[in-house]
Amino acid sequence: MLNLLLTSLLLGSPTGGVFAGPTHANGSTIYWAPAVLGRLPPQTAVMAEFVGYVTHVTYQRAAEDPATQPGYPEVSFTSPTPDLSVTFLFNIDALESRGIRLYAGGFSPSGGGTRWPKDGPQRYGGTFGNYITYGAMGGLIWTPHPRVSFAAGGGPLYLNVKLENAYDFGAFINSKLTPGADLFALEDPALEGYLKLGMDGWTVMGQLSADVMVLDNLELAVGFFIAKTPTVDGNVEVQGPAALRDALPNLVVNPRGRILLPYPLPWFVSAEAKLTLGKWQIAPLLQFQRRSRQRVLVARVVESESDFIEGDQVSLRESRDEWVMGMRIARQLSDTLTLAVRGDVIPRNTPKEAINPVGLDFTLIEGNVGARILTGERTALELTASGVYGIPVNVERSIFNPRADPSSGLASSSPIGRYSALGAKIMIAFSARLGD
Amino acid sequence: MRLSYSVLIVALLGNARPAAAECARDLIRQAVVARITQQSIDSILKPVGALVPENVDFPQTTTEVFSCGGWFDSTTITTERGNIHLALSQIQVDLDGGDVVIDVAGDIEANADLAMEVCLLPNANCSAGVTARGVAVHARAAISVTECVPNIVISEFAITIDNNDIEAHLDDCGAYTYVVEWLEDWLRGGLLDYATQELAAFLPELIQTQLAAVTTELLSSNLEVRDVSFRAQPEWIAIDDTGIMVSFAAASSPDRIADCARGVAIADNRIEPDEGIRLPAGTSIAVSGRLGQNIVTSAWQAGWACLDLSSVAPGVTNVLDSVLPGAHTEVTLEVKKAPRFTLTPSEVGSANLELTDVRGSVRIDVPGDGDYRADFQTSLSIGADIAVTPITRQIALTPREFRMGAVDVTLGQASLGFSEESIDRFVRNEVAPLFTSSLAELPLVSNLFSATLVGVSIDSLATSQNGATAEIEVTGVYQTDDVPPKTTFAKEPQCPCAPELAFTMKSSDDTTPFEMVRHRVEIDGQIMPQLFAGAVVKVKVPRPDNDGGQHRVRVAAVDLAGNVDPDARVMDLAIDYVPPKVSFVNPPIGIIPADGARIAIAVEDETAVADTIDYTVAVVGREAVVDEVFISRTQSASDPIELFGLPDATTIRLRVIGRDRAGNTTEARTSFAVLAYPSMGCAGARPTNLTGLLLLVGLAFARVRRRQRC
Repeated sequence: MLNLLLTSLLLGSPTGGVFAGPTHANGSTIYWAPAVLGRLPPQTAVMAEFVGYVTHVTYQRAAEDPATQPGYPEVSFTSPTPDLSVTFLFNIDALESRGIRLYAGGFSPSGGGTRWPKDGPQRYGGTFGNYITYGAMGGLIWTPHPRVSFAAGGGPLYLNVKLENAYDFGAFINSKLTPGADLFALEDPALEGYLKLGMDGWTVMGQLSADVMVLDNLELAVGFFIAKTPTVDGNVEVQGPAALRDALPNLVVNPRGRILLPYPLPWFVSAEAKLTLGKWQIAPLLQFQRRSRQRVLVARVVESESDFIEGDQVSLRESRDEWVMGMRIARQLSDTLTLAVRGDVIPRNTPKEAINPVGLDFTLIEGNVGARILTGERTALELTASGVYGIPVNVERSIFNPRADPSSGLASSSPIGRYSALGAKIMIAFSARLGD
Repeated sequence: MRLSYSVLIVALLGNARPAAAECARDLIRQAVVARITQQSIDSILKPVGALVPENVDFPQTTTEVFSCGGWFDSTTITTERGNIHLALSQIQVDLDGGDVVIDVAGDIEANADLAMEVCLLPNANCSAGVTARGVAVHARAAISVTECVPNIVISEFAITIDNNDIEAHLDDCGAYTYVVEWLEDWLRGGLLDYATQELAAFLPELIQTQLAAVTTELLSSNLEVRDVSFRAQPEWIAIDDTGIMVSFAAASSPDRIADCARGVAIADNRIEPDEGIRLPAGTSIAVSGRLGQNIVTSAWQAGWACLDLSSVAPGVTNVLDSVLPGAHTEVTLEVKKAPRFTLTPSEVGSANLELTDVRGSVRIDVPGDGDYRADFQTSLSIGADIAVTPITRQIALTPREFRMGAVDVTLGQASLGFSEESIDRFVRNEVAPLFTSSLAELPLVSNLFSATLVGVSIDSLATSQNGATAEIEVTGVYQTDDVPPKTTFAKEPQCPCAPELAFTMKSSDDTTPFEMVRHRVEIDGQIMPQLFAGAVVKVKVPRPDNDGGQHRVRVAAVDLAGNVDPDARVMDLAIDYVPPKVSFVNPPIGIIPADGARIAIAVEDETAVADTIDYTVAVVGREAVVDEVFISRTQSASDPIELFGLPDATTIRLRVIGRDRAGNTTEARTSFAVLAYPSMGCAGARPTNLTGLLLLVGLAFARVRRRQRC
């Protein structure tokens, strides 16, 4: 089984900082709901946002028989997840008269995958991972009424995936024998090889959004994002175990092949209501993500030099659809300074029985504090600092079983144990309006 | 032709040549006891009777009938060109205490040409004959055994002729026919008395002469127990009113010593004398447990325990070859000491085989990098059922219980990651089951006495702590059989066929019973070294180097006399070496939140697929143990598999075996998890103050989410 679960996206938090959301215009608007740009003054605007997000995940693997055996040493890794998003608003007089504006932008919700230590008990779950996306989007904003704006846009989305994990040759050979007749010990370091994947691909994405000023102090915004399932294409390379290299110097056990992975991206709908009460603002956020599209990933390895990696490779994620909620509370302290706090809850969308070191998922609770500073008549700066707490997951029973058939995606080493995650995030955003 | 069977049985038991009745010191004594009843006697003696001539030359003798005296010569009659025709019938054998009493009724017809010199009369020639009907032969025999040679002492022998049922005549004697009345008296008395005396003197000698050869061949011939020679010599004979009981001193030895048994000290092979078992009435043979041990020991020497694990090694080789290109794996298993054979006291029809020293190795050969090897040693205890297979009427030993002792593993210096535990698991769960299956229906007895004069097949079998008793059918075969059997197929193979061919035969022979007809198989001009016994002939066609699938197969029936059907059936068969492809159509992946599933199967082949599939459903353990199978079924290949009542919170493995029309099989496996209630957020995380606070804040959302997830 090739580990293709790409946990990076699971570890990420909603794009943006304390002010981010469908009703707020800043660099991440290109992601949330560009329709909100219809409320901006008729000027060309440039907005950018950079998020630096670091996650620290720990895992205390339980012994196969806790009654008689001690647990494994706790292992951890830290994974960075940078994200840069840019939004441009173009004001063209000829179109402005018809209530139409143009927008463009891009985002890069890149993430690090699992990076378990190579000498740790869960090296088979991933020792290195990178998931980088670059999206560029452009579209139209139509404002038929001062209180109503619609936006529609689309563009290309590029994906680049790099993964590396240990590969248990012993377990692979055992799986081909009669069940129960394991010839080799599981997780024998001597029979441990490495598997490296490098894939990329691109697809098209689209977005629809709407922004409505229901009342003078109540604004509603909705954004819908969808992307066509891309097939990432790349190479898979297996490095033979050390024991084979030492014992069989004349033998090269490094099968290679081409891998094709249809990677369904979840569509999502985001909705936010912003209520202004004097100097206070309250903005609840709700988002639905169609994560079940990623319940099972099936890659196909073709053109391999050694056929043991050829064919369909099932990676099991068991993700369910996801609801995300958040709440922003802001207070304008002066004409140039607004402070805000924000809380987000990103529930775990994977059954606890399906959690394993390569398929991590936590109920994340994110607390943000930040400020928006008007640095000039047409420029603003936003700063956010965040803490993310992943509610620990204590996996006591699992669907994964090293004796299951490899083709089922269930064959992996024991994932029993306690998982926990902590994260920290900083965000800096800048916006400027150009022209008169 | 009718013969005196009772006399023959006496001769059979009493005239074995000492040279043929070797009584080696290490023979098992009294290990086989055969009760021979009337039915068996008939069967055995029938072929022997064919050896007795119907006609005996009448010797040329001159008899003085009376003296004329004086000038006249005596009257003499010389017999010339005569013969005695024997027509004995109505055999009656009675067992009287320790003796065998034989009564036979029959006819004697003597004819001869006569040369007569009668006193003053001219010499004359004529033909004369006499017929005596209702001749009664009575004999009483006492049987004893000395130095392994049975001796028969005939204490009574008498031939009685009813004078009232004698016809005499003279032919072509001219005037003498009617003139010499006294010749008839001579014929009645002299010629018939002479014929009777000759018969009394000739008959035992004739029988002894003829049966000596038969007995020699019978007692010196090997009995077949697969590759085991089985010698039996009469040791004691007891007679009561129910039958003749013959105890044979018996020994077995392998026809060949298998390579795996060469050079191995055989400490367990000597068998001490054992008391024979007297049997109740019936045609039966009793084998003591000790003889069973001896047979098993010899069978083991012949290679019975040389396990051919070629069916294991390719599987491992295929797996390793994908990882280690060019790697070859060899798994061997040898039983270094003869198995201990014991009949289970508490269970009828049960036996136990103890293999106290089983050694094997797993060797991986990688080109250019040498061998990597792990050796192991263990012991096996195999509980088996002994029964008679109904079709072939052979004794079959079917393992039903298998226990393995501790596995002692010795790893080579470069063991490629083998561990003692892993070799232990591999031996227990991969090698041992194959070994067990290789023992299934082991034909301990194929054809006793086959290829000689008598065939023995088995009707039923009973075991006790002391031994086994088999009801047998003894079938005689004429020695002079030179008529070949006829090869007939009960079911001809419908090809394309799998490489493992199976022919169901119903070949026939005029003397050899159906179940004892064997078959010789020739594939592409190569004659298989063994003859195939039983109604079903199974043979594997090797795959040629050129991947060609056309083979010429010739099957010829062979009778017990060794005659081979010259008109054997020749078939040009297309062998399909390519197994079908078996796959699951949209199988369940990951978690199924229900206790059932409906799974379609696709079986594809370049020709045609079979109508049915076999499948098993098992719970996959987390340890290296054999799957716990709880469903095992056969169903239509076109119908989806309907699974119900799957245990919750388990990993299920579905194994499907599909076949093509030729019989090739392919196995497909898949696994999925049954989890009725996956643990989502509701009960998953331990609540904390922070989570509680946030859950309160998002109560409405949480309610929505609970409805969805829980």
